[in-house]
Amino acid sequence: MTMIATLKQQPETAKVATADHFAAIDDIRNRLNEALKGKKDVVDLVLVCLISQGHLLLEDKPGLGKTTLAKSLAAAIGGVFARAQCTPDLLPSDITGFNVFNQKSHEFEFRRGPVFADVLLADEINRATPRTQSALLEAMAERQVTVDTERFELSRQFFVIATQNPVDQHGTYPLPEAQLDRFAMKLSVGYPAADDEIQMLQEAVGESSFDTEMTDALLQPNQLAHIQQQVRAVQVAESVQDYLVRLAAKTREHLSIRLGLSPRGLLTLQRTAQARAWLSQRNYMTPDDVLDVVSPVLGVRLGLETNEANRVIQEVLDAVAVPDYSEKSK
Amino acid sequence: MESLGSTVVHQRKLSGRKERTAGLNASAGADTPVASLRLQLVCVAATMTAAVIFTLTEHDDHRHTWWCVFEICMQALLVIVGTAYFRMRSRLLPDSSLLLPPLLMVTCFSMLCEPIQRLVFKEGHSFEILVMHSQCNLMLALAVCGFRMAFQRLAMLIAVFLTIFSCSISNAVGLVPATICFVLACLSWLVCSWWESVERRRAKTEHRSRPLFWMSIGLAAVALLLIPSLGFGNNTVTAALRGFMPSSGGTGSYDPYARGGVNDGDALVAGTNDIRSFAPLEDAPFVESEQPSLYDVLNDEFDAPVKRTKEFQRAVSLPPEMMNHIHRQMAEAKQAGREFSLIRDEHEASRSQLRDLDTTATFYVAGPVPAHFRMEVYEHFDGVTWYPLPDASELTFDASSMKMKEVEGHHWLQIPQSSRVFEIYDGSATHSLKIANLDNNIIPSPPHLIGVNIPDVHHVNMYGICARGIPSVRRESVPTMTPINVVSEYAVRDRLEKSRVKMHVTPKPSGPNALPDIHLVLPSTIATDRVRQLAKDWTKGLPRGWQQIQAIESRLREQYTLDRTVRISADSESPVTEFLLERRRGPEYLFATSAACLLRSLDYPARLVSGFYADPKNYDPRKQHTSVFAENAHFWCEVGLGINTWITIEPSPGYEIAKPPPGLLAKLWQSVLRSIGIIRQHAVAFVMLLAGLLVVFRLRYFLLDLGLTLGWKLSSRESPAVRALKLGILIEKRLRFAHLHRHAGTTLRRWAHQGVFDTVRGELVRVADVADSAMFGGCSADSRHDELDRLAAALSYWRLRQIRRESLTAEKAV
Repeated sequence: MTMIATLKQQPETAKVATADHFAAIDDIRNRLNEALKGKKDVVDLVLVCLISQGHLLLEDKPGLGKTTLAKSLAAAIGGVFARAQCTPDLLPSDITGFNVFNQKSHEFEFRRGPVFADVLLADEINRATPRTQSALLEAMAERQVTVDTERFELSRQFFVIATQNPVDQHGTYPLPEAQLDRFAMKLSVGYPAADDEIQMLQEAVGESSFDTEMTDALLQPNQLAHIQQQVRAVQVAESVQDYLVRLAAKTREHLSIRLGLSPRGLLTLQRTAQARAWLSQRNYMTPDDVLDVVSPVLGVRLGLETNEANRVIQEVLDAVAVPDYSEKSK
Repeated sequence: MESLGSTVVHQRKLSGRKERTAGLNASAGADTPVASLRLQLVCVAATMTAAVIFTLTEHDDHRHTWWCVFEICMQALLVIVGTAYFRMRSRLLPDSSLLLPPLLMVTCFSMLCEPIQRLVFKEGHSFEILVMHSQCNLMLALAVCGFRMAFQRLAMLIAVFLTIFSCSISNAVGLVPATICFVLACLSWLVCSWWESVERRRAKTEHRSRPLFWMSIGLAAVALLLIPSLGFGNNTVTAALRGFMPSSGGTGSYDPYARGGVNDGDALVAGTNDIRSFAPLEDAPFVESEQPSLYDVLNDEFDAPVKRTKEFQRAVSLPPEMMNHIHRQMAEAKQAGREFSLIRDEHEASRSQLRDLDTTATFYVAGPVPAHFRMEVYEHFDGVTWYPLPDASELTFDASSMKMKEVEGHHWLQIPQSSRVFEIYDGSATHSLKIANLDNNIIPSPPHLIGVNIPDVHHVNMYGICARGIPSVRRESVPTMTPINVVSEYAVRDRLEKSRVKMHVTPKPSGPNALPDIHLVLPSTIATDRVRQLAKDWTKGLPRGWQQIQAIESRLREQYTLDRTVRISADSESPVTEFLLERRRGPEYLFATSAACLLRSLDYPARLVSGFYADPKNYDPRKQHTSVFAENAHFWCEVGLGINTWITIEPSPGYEIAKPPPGLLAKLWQSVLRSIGIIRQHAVAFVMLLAGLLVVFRLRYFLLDLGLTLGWKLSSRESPAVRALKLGILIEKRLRFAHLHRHAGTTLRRWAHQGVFDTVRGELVRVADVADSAMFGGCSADSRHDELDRLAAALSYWRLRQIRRESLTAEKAV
């Protein structure tokens, strides 16, 4: 039975639940917009990333609100928030956790690392050594970690927000392609507009920085899982899938692109576009949804320099025709 | 999360789907092995043209015209149906190898049918035709399967080969226009193919406009050139383009680039049904029959000469020796009945003799027309009657001076050329004659003859040549139904002005026994002074030479009327004076005589020639020959340049002198002039047609939108979802018509955010919403019929066009 039919036949309680989900996501959106002034597009893409179960890489200069955004999001979804400040001396066990010997019980006990949180903020991830970075690979891809041959399941909503500074490259370790491919998107927050900065300054007068932090959760337990389930069920027409495949093919033959879109990247692109469609309160995906998310999704995984990524991605988009209305009539 | 394995499987599934569907979208950006419909249609058109060319070649004997038409129609039908069938099912044929067995069967089909045809219908094809037939079938089958580019390319290759083959072996009717069409189709295919490869490779946002305007102009120009070949009266396709580019198979036309090309080569075969059917039979028997002689023909056409009751004394201002000589000649000519009198019977003669014959043609000519065929040359004129002087002293030929020359297995009698001092010749023409009803031993031959060939007549003793260079056979009459080939040269009149010919006044003989030139003698019975004065008036201010001759010729052609019914009264003393100064109308022998007298009065040597005129109006494009009838008996005049070089002067209006074939550019120019003539002739209709076409061209988008809108309105009974999708298509078409179409790489919703759409953005976004919903969600997005109608009305073609104009105005202002 198709998704449309399912949605059409869903009972009143399901419709109410869906409306609740949209309301909750709207609340999160508002909270994030409060925390990060004038960045509605970024906030929407962060939400897309969240509900499509993808991980997010924030690349921008210091002080633009990356950490604020991550903390606000973690608080809003009501999960456990953990932060790992990546430095060259950070060990893999500092991320995943480690066994310590309990002298009372004379047994080794596993001390969980920050990876066991619902939202993990890996700040300045490119300052960690490749060894530490790779410790995140398994966690991000399979939502599990293995320590001393013992496997540990992570949270079902495990969501990584990593940040990196594109300017100060001294003493950094660029993320390997394998790890980049495990992020769903790469976003830049960018400087806020002047009006937003004035508003930010006005609100900051006389307030402590701690006063503005809102810590109450906006999602019910398991609500995010339900939303993610609904996102996965958003209908994708065959013509749109053709479009996605043609896009992927074009990235693989473009001369400026070192690494074409992988099948995993293609799946990520479809899933994020589904999430974009869900956020637009539609149960079907359109090429517009793809175009909304394609730039950050391709930007993280095509091996392009940041300054030329937009141009190359635009070339790819221009070279691939979106499905035409007349196709269906044929 | 899906495993990588399932990911790959999914990826393959998607890739396969892409291959199947992307190709059907001509504007798709991805590389695709499936050719677009547009390209395939051009390929089908080109291959069908090649098939038509081959079918014309196959049936160029015209024995199975209807079968030929049926074959072409069936081919077209099968190709169209097959193309549509395979096009719709191209998704089911991802593997081209599945098509190979049917293609093999199609190739072998004609080979397999041939034995059956030979056994049952007792008819068959030659080997090369059979092989080409199977290639033709394969070509059409490949074109049908042309959704694969590889098949299309192969089909085009075979089409080119087939066309070259057909043009090499045949001179069928309509071959040239069909070949031109084929060339155009091939060019179109190449252009389309190139364009589509560009479309696939280049970014979609770049503005590309097809050179539609120039393509239209080019096609219109070609169509204009082809107008004369579409058939007006006798001017059929072949007549118009005959000799345009003669093939080596032979058209009888002169072309320096053709290999061989004398006569119609091996393409002409014996008429198997009727020995009288025209085909220069190489082995035709000599048929003896009672035929009219040249003099019967002249008497029949111009009535018998009148026996004058009262003998006039025709004094000729000649010395006594010359008088005696001339009188002896005249007596001999009279005895032989070869003289021609200008005084003819006024009563219509009974023409039953010629009318009762099986065929009315005197002889047939294959070769370029118009052409004059000389039969008799008259040199002495006594004021009423012209007399041929067979052994005139200027030049005689005997058997010892005649030579035979073998050229490519044919024995040609060489006509001695007395002089080649004048550089006035350019190119040669070959005519094949076939005498049907003419009892004469003289071979009709064009002026400036250089060779005669009768198949299987190898010995020089069989021929004779009279003093004036007219060949004959040494028997009572020329054998009928036997091909006689004559080769002559063209004298280019334009070169006469520039040549060394100055036409000096012939010095009067000074010696006591010297005879004056017979060609300058004017009888005293005609008003010599008045004729000379008339000639001087006409040539006033012109230098002596060719310009004066031309002036006399053109005056007669322009100011005198040709009327064969006019007869000079039997008691007329001077028919020439009467014609020139009083009646100003008459038959062509009066024109020719008058021209000769006028020229002689200015001391230009001139003489009268009788013979036949091969009229282009009598050209039969199907049989590819011109019939020469008894009514084509004709008189004209020749002017001597000196050293036995005589140039044809045609003073009779309506008759043309053969000209050397023009070059390619000249032919094109003639074609253009001809087209202009036709356009002038039908000016009103043409202007109306042009205006109509211009209006249609100007309003083409409006008319297209009208049709689409009508279709949209007719869809009101369909579901909102279907109509929403149709609305999306309609609006996108309208945007295209208004030159506001979105780029292929973006969506309608995003495109609506262009600045130009400020006033209709809401409507456009809503259209995108409902169409997206129908296209990708399969639902109607809460759209209702009235809302869809409202959107269609709000985004009308005129509204979008207005938006476009406003934006252009704003751009200019900026």
